[in-house]
Amino acid sequence: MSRILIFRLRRRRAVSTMIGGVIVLTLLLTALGTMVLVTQQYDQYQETVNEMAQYRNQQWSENLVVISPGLTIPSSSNIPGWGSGCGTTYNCYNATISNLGVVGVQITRIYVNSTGPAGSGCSYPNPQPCILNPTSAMAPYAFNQANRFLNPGEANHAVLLALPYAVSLPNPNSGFPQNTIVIVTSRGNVFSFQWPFQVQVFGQSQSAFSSGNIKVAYTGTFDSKNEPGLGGSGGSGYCHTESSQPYPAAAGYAEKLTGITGYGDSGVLWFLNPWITGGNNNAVIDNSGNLHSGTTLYIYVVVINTGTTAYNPTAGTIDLTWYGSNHLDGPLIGVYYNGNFYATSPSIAPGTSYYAIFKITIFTIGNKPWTVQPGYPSVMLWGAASITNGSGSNPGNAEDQSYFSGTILLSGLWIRYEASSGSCA
Amino acid sequence: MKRWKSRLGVSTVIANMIMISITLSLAAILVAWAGTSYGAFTGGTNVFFAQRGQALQENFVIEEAFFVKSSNTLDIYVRNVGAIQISVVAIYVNGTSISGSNIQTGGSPPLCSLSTSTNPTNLVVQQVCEYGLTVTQGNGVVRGGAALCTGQTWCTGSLFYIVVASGRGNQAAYTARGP
Repeated sequence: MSRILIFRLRRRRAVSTMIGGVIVLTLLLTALGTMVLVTQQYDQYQETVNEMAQYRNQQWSENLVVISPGLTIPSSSNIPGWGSGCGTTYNCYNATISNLGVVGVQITRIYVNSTGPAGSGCSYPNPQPCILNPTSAMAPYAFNQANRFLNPGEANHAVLLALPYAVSLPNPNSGFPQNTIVIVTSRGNVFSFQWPFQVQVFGQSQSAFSSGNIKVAYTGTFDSKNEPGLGGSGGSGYCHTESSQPYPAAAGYAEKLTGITGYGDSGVLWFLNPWITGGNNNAVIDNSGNLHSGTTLYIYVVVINTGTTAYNPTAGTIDLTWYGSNHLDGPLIGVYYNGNFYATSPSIAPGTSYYAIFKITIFTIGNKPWTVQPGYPSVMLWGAASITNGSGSNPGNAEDQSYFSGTILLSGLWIRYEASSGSCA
Repeated sequence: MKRWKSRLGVSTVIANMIMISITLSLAAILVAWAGTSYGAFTGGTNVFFAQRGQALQENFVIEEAFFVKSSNTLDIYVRNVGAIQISVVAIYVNGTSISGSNIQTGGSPPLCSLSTSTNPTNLVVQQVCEYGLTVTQGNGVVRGGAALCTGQTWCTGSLFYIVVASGRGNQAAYTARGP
């Protein structure tokens, strides 16, 4: 009897255990399935997180630097693979960019926003800002899409921009003729720079001196109808067709220096900001069909003595790179200091500035003078002797020599001559 | 004795059946409850991770902003640099929502408008959209000093803090200074 009872009890326990086991197993499986699903979802999410983290790392790794002088004029009107028309239909510019980052960069758009008088560069009523998109063929407000990719570490990569011919980036703002150029990448980074660059020496202001504005003087009074290019009036060296003006710029744009003995019109030179371009009465207009024997160009550079001792600037030269291999050079004729012109070197006190005036006598490139497109970069080679405190066998201190030798990269020294529809004998 | 035993056997079977039924019922309820709960949990996490994932994939920037004096507008360019399309649902300037007639339309290429439930608009990947924002005293963006702001409704040098919000809750900000 007791055996039967025990047997029955065992059977009942087995059934109960099985049922309980099934229930527990079901619950466990349900929970496990849920866990698997949630884990999968979390994995997917984590994958997205990782991808976006990697993406953001790449974003932060982008680093584009624009190389001085920033924008330059391409040497040819025909751009292989993109088209022709630079200098005639379009104003073309090369933006020289280095990719210092560790990832490749794709440029998606470029904005150009100009300051200055209305209508100059990319300012109202011209499109403001100018929006340049990549194109496969040359077009207004575009950049060459073949240039849009920069490899990691790639240096001096040229990106070619095209604007309508009527939109010229230099503008006649005598103060700070600036264009803000914004480069947008496909990862959403924005790199911008101002152009023209400020004049710098060795990429930065120097301890001994720093240079500021550079201005250009045209010889004579600019009674340009008769302006021969060599001062005075009545000549016939080349032809301007705009109406007679005391100088080819509105009031405030030109700076009159007097007492420049032996130069200009009875010692008077009118210096203009080199960014002076454009139409209306401010333009220096040239009949491009004329042959010219050349004219005289004066350039001054503002030099500041940021040292602690006085020094005497002496003879020097200026050498401008003009249209690639062409050069324009001339000597330092003197300095303009404290309102006076000194053919011989005055003593420049610490903390003061002066104008170092250079003269380029024959200014002929091709068959006419000053055939210079706006924006073409110029390199000024400033001889060691130009501003040292010694001369001849005594060239001065080594510090002075090193400070004052070198290359000044100008962001764009140009004088624009435009063909005129008017007559020009 | 035999009867008693017999009664006892019937009672045991019935009791067992009752117990099994109760147990199974409770188990069914428990499993159903667990399934529903876990299902809801799974669905909730699915939606959560999906939304978070999409929000993470969003990435957009205000790449340029400039003032148009002729129309007293502040034009901004928004680019989608993320991995999925986005919808711009709100733009704030100095904490004031710019919407309705204060978002300019027309132009060439046409200006973009905000995405709404009735007019959903999306920016696909790498698309850039220009929004023309009216910034005046009238809509509360420019405050005070109108006499000092000759020629335009904004004061030269004043700051404009622009926030663009997407439908997934992301924001891009930009500070522009009045010219």
